[in-house]
Amino acid sequence: MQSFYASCEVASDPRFALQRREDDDHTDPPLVVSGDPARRTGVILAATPTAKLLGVENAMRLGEALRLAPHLLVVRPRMRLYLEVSVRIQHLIQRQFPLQEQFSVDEAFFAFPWPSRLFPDPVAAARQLKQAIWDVFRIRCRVGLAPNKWLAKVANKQAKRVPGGIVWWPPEQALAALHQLPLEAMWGLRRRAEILRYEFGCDTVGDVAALPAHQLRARFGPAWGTVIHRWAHGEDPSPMEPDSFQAPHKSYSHRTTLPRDYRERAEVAVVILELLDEVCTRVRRAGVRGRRVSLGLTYERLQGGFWRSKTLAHATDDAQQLYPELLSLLDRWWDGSGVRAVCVGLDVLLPAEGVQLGLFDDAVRRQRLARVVDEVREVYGETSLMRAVSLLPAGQLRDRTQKIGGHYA
Amino acid sequence: MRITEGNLFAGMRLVLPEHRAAVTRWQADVRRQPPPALAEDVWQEMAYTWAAAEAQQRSLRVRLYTPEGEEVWEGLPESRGGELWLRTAEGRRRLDRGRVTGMEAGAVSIARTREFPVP
Repeated sequence: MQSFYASCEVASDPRFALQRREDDDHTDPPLVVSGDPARRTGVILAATPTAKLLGVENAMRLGEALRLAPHLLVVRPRMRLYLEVSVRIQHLIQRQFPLQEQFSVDEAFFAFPWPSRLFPDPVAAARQLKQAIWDVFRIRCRVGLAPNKWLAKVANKQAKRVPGGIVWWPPEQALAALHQLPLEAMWGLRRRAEILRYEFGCDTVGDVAALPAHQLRARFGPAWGTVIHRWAHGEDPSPMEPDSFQAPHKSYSHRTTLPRDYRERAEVAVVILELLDEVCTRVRRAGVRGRRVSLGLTYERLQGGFWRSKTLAHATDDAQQLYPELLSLLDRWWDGSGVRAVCVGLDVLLPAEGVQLGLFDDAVRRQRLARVVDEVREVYGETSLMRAVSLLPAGQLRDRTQKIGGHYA
Repeated sequence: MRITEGNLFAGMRLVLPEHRAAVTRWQADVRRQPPPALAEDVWQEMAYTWAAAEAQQRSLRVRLYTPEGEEVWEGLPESRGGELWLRTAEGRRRLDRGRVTGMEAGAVSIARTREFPVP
């Protein structure tokens, strides 16, 4: 979907209903969704095409955006609305194309047999879907059609640049179309694109395809080297898995971006404990326990940091057992830089059976207490029972309970 | 999951718990069926089936509506004081007539189904 959060906002505002047209992005008002409109240091989460024409970009500071476009309409995010719209759009896609797999809030894969009598013209089928989404939701989308999921993802990015918003790469044309693109068009590379450009001198995807697979594996490791080689040759064996969105978790994690850089260990420790409590609650609710606990910090300006893990002898869902491990990861890997984001994760999950007893603690009693706390919070809200440390200035729990994914609900 | 095998996109996907909950809620809502409206002659046929099974002490399979899908009870029919009961393996259960969508006696089913609506 195009600028999904911003599109949901303009689509739900009757002031703009009559002026907006599906075939003209510029009939949208210059509107941005910002993390906290009250704070000029808030970040732009989404911007309409009209706002982007004025120089506004996602992740820009609100203050800077307002300097570029003083008449910008700024709204607070409404995550609950965006999730509900997303669910309904995905349902619409699934009704037209049953082989559908949601990828994110605003993206989905769908597949259909071609050539086939049911779908003689893939572009017409995609156009019908685009029209249906506009008719029901007044949200524009782009469609990339290709022989596999990765190529379709790359084609989708190109669809933003063409009138009509649909790009189709038939099998016999896909490689030629792919190889002429700049290597940054290869979705999923992230920082590896810089390495390919500056160490290997690649300019286009075609240049990457010319690199021998063993060179790629030597530089990027056997896994990523293989993947990059495959992608450059337009190959992706990823199957369509419609139920994978609802598949059981392989890990549980929570991340929070802090309102300022935290520089004191005690402050970071409070946030770690709050996130750990949430992870453990979700893990208990799912009836599993984890053996590997992980801590991730992102430093100031959201650059740099670390992600480290520790595997325990036994699986657990007990914050009291996991917290010392997280603190030891913090003490070992934190270099003292200002911390702007914290993430806590638990994986290597096993079914929760029995209680691992210790000689010096009452694990059964702690487990019973944890379940009672979970039940009280389920009924009365997350802030009905809090640790005292959450009341300290460093505590983020009370602020986070008003948000979804770190943004206002 | 190794990134060289399987669905790479499933491995790279991050799903907010609230998003997953919204999808689950939506799917449950979509699966909910409205209560069926049965025609008069279907009721009459079911009444006959019930009476015959009760007289002959034969087991009946009764289909009942729930918003989440059909429920099936099986047992010996009993009529008491205008109420319908089934003596099932779980004990005697009172039938809510408003939820009954069909009955089967033996190998023959005369229940109304959605595929063959009563005209």
